[in-house]
Amino acid sequence: MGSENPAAPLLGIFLATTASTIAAIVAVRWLSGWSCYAKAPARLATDTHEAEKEQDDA
Amino acid sequence: MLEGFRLGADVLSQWAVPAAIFVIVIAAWRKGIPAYESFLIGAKEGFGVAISIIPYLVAILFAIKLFLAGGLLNDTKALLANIGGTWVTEESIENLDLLPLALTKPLSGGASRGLLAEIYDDEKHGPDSRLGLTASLMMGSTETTFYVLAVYFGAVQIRRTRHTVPACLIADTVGLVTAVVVGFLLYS
Repeated sequence: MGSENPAAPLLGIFLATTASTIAAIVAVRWLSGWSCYAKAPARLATDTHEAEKEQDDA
Repeated sequence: MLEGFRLGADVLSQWAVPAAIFVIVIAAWRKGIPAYESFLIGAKEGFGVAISIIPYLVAILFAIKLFLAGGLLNDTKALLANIGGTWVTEESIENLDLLPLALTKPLSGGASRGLLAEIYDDEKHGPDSRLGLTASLMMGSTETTFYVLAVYFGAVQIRRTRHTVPACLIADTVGLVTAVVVGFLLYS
């Protein structure tokens, strides 16, 4: 099972990892523009305050 | 030119591991970290990891064995050979043996290591064959995506992962395809 040169795949791994890293960066930039992956609307501190007030009133 | 590139890759690969060890020892010495003791602690933890992955290995290897024993992989190979005719070489069809590894890697590191060991153990292939080296490239250039996302996002309680999963899978696919292409170029 032992390899004669265990370090042989290193350069190939470096090349493939570089390619996948570049692909990841491009994919994130591309997909972040899609409406289905849009950011959730930010919750404001006043929203929480108003919700608490409504709860108290109830 | 490709021969020169292969020669350069061989020389670089042979020196990469000793150089990395040397850099680690020097960096530890500069920071005053006991390198040997730290190494022993890591080696002890390795035993724990080896034991903890056994249940995952059993589950996923069972599923993969079922997939292989059912003959689906061999049928796919035969179908591709018939469709492709002379355009599809035996070497490219042989790459289908890496399909279980490619499908398992995003799910479980332990199970994919088990599959890698099977490719290394195979009398037909072995660790220094083109397929064995390509499998090593696939392991080194992809990530256990779903496991990592579950652990990291779970730790900070993020439920809405937005575009993370598709972006990770795109990157994994590019890594796998590049591994196969580089495997052909460097090790054929």
